[in-house]
Amino acid sequence: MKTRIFTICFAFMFFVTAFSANAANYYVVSGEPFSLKPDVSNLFAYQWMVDGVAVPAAELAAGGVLTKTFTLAEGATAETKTLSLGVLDAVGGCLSDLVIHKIIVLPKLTVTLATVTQDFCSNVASISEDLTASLDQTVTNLSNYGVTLSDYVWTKGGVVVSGASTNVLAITEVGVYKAVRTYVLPTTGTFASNGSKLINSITGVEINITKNKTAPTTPDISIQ
Amino acid sequence: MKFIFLANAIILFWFTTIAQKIWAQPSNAIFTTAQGIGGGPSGIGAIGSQSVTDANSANYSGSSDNAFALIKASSTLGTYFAWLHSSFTNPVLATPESPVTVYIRTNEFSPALLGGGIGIQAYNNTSGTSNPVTTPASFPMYYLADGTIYVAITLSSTFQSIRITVTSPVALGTNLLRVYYSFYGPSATNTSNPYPYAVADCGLPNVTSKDASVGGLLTDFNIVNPGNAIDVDPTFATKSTFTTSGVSGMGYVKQVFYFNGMSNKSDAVRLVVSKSGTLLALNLASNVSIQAYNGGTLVGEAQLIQSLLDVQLLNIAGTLVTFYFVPKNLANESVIFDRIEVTLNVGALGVGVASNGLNIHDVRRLPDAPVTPGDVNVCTNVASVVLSALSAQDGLSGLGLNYSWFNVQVLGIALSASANYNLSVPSTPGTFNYYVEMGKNGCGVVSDRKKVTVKVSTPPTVPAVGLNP
Repeated sequence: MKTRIFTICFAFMFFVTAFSANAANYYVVSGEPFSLKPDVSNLFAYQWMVDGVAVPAAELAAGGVLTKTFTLAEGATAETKTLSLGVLDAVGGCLSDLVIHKIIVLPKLTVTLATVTQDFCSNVASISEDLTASLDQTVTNLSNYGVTLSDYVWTKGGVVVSGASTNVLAITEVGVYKAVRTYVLPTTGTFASNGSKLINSITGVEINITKNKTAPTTPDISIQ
Repeated sequence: MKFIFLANAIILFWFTTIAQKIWAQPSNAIFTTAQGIGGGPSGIGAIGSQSVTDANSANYSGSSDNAFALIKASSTLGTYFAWLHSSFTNPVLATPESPVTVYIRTNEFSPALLGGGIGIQAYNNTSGTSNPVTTPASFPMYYLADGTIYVAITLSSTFQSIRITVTSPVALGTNLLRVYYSFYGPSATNTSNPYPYAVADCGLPNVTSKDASVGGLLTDFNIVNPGNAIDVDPTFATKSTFTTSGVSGMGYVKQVFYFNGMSNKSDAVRLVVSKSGTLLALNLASNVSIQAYNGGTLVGEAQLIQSLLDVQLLNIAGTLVTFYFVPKNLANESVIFDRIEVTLNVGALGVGVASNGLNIHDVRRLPDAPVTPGDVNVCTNVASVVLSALSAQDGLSGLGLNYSWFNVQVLGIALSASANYNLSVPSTPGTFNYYVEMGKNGCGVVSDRKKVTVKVSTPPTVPAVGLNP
């Protein structure tokens, strides 16, 4: 049974758990650790292989739990790793067939905001500005996996700005603004997701729009 | 490991390419060339007669020589003796370091000859009137597969003639001895093997001899047709027979088999036997022992044949039972040997075991069963596994060893003719037995089979995995 929990929460914790007996696809984030746990913890031995290289038993936690971190080079696109699992049920027993899981490593992205004026004069009655959000990197091969990016989600002071979904937000008020996006994983196809840990996958940089510039004082005048 | 074989299809083990032994003197054998005779009463008052007829027939006339001198001594009171004095043309140099064995071919075997009816004395001249040479008091009688019998006497001092004396039985009567010819081999170097002139060697003994204790007036222990145990008979129809007749009492009867030189390390002996009479097989098998020797020195541990074969099979009338004897010491290490003794302890069988005994149909020296790494555990998800065998004799040059794998302990069709068998793993779990034997190229006799058990198991199922929070 697969359980899927998804929440648009700006705590940056996107986590999906599922137990897959057959070969599965898991999505993780570059530079972030993740663990795979067999649902049977009392077997005699667990043999994990990462891209065909055996993982020493000393590196496994009890119950055959494997913890890994894959880090992509800066600016790199998404990559696929293979994690294979075989088990022994007794000393001198048989090694099971290997089940090969795919780990799709997604690069970490950052959403930055740009504006013409960030600090307005303190004596203006109102402000009008466009905030433009952009990703620091274009991941060119997401479509290979069927992964897409969500619409932008804008927040002001931590509160979602309703109706704002594009990369431009027209603002009229001071405040702390931020924009984020999320990876949207496929549910069908070759790379359908069986689980993911996307913590810190796409983070947004805040921008503080203020009205703190001091207006000059109009001097007194006199007739000469 | 016991290897039991029902002999109804024995011929499958035999191949026409088996090297046949050539029972012949060496090509450079030197024969006696002059004969003298004599004899008379052994003491005052003896009544009897003695004669030596066709004395010159004891001169060798060629490979088809079947003419013989007949030495005869008879008596009705006391004893009479008759002798044949055979001389070599030249003195024969012999020393304790390089002794010389003289073989006297005789085809006569009578129980009366045992226990001192024959005497042999060597001389350092041709007359025999002086210069006697130290001569062993006892001399074994060796039997060849074709029924030929040789008496052999080993001398350690220079000699030129030998005198063969036949004395009439102490219990009155007549003793006869045929002498066909006498010779020695000037190039013989094997002082351990009594007849080292065999040409080929597929493990067949060169010669065999017999021995028995004295069982008393009404008791006779004997081995009938001893040479039949070492002939090349693919059906094993011929046999030597251990017999006991009369009131047996205590005693033993034994047959000794002499192989062509020393064994290789990890050699074994294969015997094909059957039982005669109504004696229980267990009683028989528990009183027959086998012992290996290196020359005159006992080597390894003796074993009762009841520990080497299936006694129940031996109990079935007419059944030939094959088993293997591997001479080893107490440390379970292979020993080097050139002969074995098969001894029947008659005394332990009890009184009244007339006409009961052991038949020996065939004796072969051959490599011991192959060695394998042990039983194998394998999984159904493995395509194949290699079963391997080796022998301590693999490194010996010139042996030409061959291996064969089977899935049955007896007979069957070879699955592989190699030391390594690439077994396709069965797709269903279970326990499967495989057997490997070995032999020498060109010889149809093979070793005991070594069993390898392959246990096939179903592999476990890989559990599901999930991202651990």
